[in-house]
Amino acid sequence: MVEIGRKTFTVVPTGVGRPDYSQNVEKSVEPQIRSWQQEYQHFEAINVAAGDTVTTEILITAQTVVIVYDFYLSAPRNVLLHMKLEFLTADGTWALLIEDSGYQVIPIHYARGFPLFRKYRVEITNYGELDVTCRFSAHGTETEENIYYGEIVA
Amino acid sequence: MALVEEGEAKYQEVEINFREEVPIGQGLAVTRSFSQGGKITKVMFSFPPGTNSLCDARLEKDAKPFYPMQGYLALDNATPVYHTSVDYYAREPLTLTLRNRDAENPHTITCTVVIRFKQPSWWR
Repeated sequence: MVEIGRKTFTVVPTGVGRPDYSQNVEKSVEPQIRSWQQEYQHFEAINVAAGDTVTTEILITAQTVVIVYDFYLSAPRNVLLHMKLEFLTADGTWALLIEDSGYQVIPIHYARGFPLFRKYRVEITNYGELDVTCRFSAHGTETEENIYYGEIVA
Repeated sequence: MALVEEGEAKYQEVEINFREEVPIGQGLAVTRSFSQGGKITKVMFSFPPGTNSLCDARLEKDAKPFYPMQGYLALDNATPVYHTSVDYYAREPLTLTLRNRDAENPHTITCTVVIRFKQPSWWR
């Protein structure tokens, strides 16, 4: 096999292709974190006297959305408790999220999760004859508002 | 080269290989030949991914279009193999003509021609 001729000539380009592998093409993309989500936990001890009702506001960090799945209220004594959870609507009024009663414990599981903004409040009524220190806990995830609404931030 | 035995006759196969990088907006015609006569059994073209059908290739045999018979072959990310049984005369010129119509990237096209020929008595 011998080479007996070689000539070059000019061609008019008619389009643009892509570099082929003979050109040592190596392309990579640096990953950029554009969204995040972290666990949200809130614990609070609330003193509720016998026959009394106490309302506690729980603040949420600005520009943050908390999606809550679990609420849990417990007391060290077997007293009848009533819990009312309210959230702040966009127009600044309070709206009822859920209310429930129970002896000593009130577990609430919200499988879908409920988004809470700015603040929410818990109203606890003690129908027992003993003063108790209730333990309130909320558990879920939190993220930024713009991520929650699907806005891409460069 | 591969040795193929058929009855008492011994055949060899040789590959005439063209691997050419064609610069942007350039054409290239490379001519090669082989010293023995035989049959062309395979013609293989290889177009890398990225050519976007902008690279034309044509193989000529004795200055006449051989594959394809008309026009040029222009593919992307493809390696077609054509099986043929065409006589090849000793020292017959095989010319690969390439045209790169890509305005931004050079491309490397490969063409391999397999010739099967009868082994001469003096062949080593």
